Amino acid sequence: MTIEAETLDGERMTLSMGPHHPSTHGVLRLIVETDGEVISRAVPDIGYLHRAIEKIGEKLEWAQFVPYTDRVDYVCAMNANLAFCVAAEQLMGSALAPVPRRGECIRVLVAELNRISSHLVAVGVSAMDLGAFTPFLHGLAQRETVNDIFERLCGQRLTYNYITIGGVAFDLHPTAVAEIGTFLDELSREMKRFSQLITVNPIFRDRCAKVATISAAEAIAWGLVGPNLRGSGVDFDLRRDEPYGIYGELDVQVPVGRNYAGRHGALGDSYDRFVVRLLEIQESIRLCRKALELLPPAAAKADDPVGGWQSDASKVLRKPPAGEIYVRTEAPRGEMGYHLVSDGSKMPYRIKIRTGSFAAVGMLEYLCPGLFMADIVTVIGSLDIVLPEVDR
Amino acid sequence: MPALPTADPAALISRFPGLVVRPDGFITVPAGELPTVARMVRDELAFNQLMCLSGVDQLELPGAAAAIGVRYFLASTSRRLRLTLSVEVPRDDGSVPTVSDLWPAALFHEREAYDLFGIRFTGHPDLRRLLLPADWVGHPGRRDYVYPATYNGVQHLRDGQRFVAEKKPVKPAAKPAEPVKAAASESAPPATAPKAAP
Repeated sequence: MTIEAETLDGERMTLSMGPHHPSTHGVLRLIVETDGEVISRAVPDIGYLHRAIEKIGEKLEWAQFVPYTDRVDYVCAMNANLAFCVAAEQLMGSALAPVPRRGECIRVLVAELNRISSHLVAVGVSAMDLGAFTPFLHGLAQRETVNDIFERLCGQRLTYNYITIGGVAFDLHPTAVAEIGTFLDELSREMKRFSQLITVNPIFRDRCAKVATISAAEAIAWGLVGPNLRGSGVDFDLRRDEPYGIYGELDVQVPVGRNYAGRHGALGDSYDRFVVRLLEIQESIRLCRKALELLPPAAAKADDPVGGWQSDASKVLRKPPAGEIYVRTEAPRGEMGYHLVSDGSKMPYRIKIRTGSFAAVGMLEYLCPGLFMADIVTVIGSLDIVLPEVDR
Repeated sequence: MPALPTADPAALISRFPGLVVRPDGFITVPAGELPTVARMVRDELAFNQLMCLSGVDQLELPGAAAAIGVRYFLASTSRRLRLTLSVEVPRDDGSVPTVSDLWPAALFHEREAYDLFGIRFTGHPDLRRLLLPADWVGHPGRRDYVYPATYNGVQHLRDGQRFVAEKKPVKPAAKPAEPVKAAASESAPPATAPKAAP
């Protein structure tokens, strides 16, 4: 729904949307210049949540940085843990014993459970911003179960500090497999209802269809990643195309956008991005079930190469060789990449974190002109912008 | 863990003899040649994705020039390849041509690198600070950055507190450690006295 701003007469008005606004999902400030109801310019102003996590990392030992990665993206802290640990393990190379098989399966389990809860929040909250309150409550009810499972697993409900360099911090608790199995069954039933509440809702569909349509070439050039990239029809998922851990064995199916709104929409519009997230939840349920199948029985020792959950802890604390590496993993908001520089000492020389939301915020200035003021809420929601990972 | 393979740099090197391939596969590009190299990399070698643009202050990095490094992590979605370009600029008043005209994703990344490392990206349409306030002084990503005591009249520290400069671990040349330790543990007060003196 775009209108040529030039065709309307009237004074331009400058509005400051945020930094405290319920629909900006954090402290994002948009300086919006409007011509009546139509946006002529929108400049994002970020940095309100900048905690200098990268700089702090230069003063810590490698393993000590893991709790900080939780805070990079607290909506999917497991995936943020995993991104750093996979990168650090690749930097350490052969200095580190490989992660035990059971540890790898647990990693996939928790990462996919966290992806489910992150997508439930992303879709649920955005639906609430667009006026549909019910899906939000259904989404959060399911997320609560994930939080309960994680709480029993590692004692935390939001920032887990669970995945470590070399494996995971603890083995699964005795009832974990049964709990996760029950949850997955319940979630697949519930997802039918949750999806219908959103996709069949004509108000939601009309507010998302044809809003902020991004072509595949644009999405790649602007560095969009994850569901935002796939929403534009680009078939690219790091879990399948650049596999890490045991993802290569899991045969990851990648849902892509294909104009799900039909005659109302266009390929790569906001509605496609929401639907891709819903389909990814289904895929994550399947991956969780597969990881449960592959899970070897527990061993008594943590560093058992099959049934253990962490490689030899004494080697974990070793200094990585001097070098430089960029490793990317697929977080719920897309590519979470770590550029790590090591000078061979026990502390990182430089850490740079590249996140999906950073690219999405960068694109706002390009996307917003021509849209209605109310569409900003749709755009921010459909791009799933989470501010802590933008500002870091 | 198979990452995407790194592209063979032969095609680049034959066209641009000024490039140097580092042992880890990064290609060092002179700042002046970056626009032509980047354009060829994007248009002819199909590296359409700028994964990440990162600044590194190489001041204390062993085996590297004491310059500010800029790394361009590129990927090709069609050829499934990766490529990393590296540019080194002088620490004082260094500048690099922008690549935001080729990959708009660089618009925000370059603003961040300017903010934290003080790299000027010539040709960038809107080179302002990104994460820090506009009136911030200095570039905190640099290794020799000194934290300011105040910002806009607000003191960061209570009276008497101060930021302690990073102490380099002094490597002991020979190890007369054990007798000294034994002496220190026997007479604790003299051992702590020199610490308090400065």
